[in-house]
Amino acid sequence: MKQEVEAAFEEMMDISTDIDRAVVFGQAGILATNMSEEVRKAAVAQAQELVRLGELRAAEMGSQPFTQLVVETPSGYVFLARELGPDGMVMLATGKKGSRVGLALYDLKTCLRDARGGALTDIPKGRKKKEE
Amino acid sequence: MKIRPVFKIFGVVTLIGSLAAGVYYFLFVRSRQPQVEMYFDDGSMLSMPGETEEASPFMAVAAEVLKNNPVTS
Repeated sequence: MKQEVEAAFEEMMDISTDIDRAVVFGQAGILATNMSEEVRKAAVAQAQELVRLGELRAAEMGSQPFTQLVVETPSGYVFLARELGPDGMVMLATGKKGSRVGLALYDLKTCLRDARGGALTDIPKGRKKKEE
Repeated sequence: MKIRPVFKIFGVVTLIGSLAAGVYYFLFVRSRQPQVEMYFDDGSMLSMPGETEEASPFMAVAAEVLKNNPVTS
């Protein structure tokens, strides 16, 4: 499982020009990340806090559970995508100002799906690997 | 009163430069307002302006995330 997550994560980082740093984690802990060692645990705790806040907000509204979250700040973006369910994975990512939100969320969702071993998806038109 | 051609050219260049700067600012420099967007399982979406009470806890956590992981690209 961890290998699949790492492969999907690597592919996402190769393709996406909007995502800067990211971490994927689940019940078993951190599954893939390009964040520095010192901030990983804090990032997981911050992602869990965002999930808690999102769930609270969804419950207040009486809506369906949330699956994605975007916070736009003056210094950049924070993206969060998650799988629903007790063993669902969560991904937290950062992006620079001016990031294309739709594409970044698409990349996060695709990464989680591929990490689950879902059908490999073609890279959509206009999406190609970043040049080295 | 006759305007010298050099002043005419200067005026035209200044006007074009101002317009180009305005377009550049509008497209690339002008930043969107801070905000939080939530997407739900049924496809619905909620947007909260960053300065509102509901958005402030999300903004605080996001600021911490970006402080620990400054965007480099």
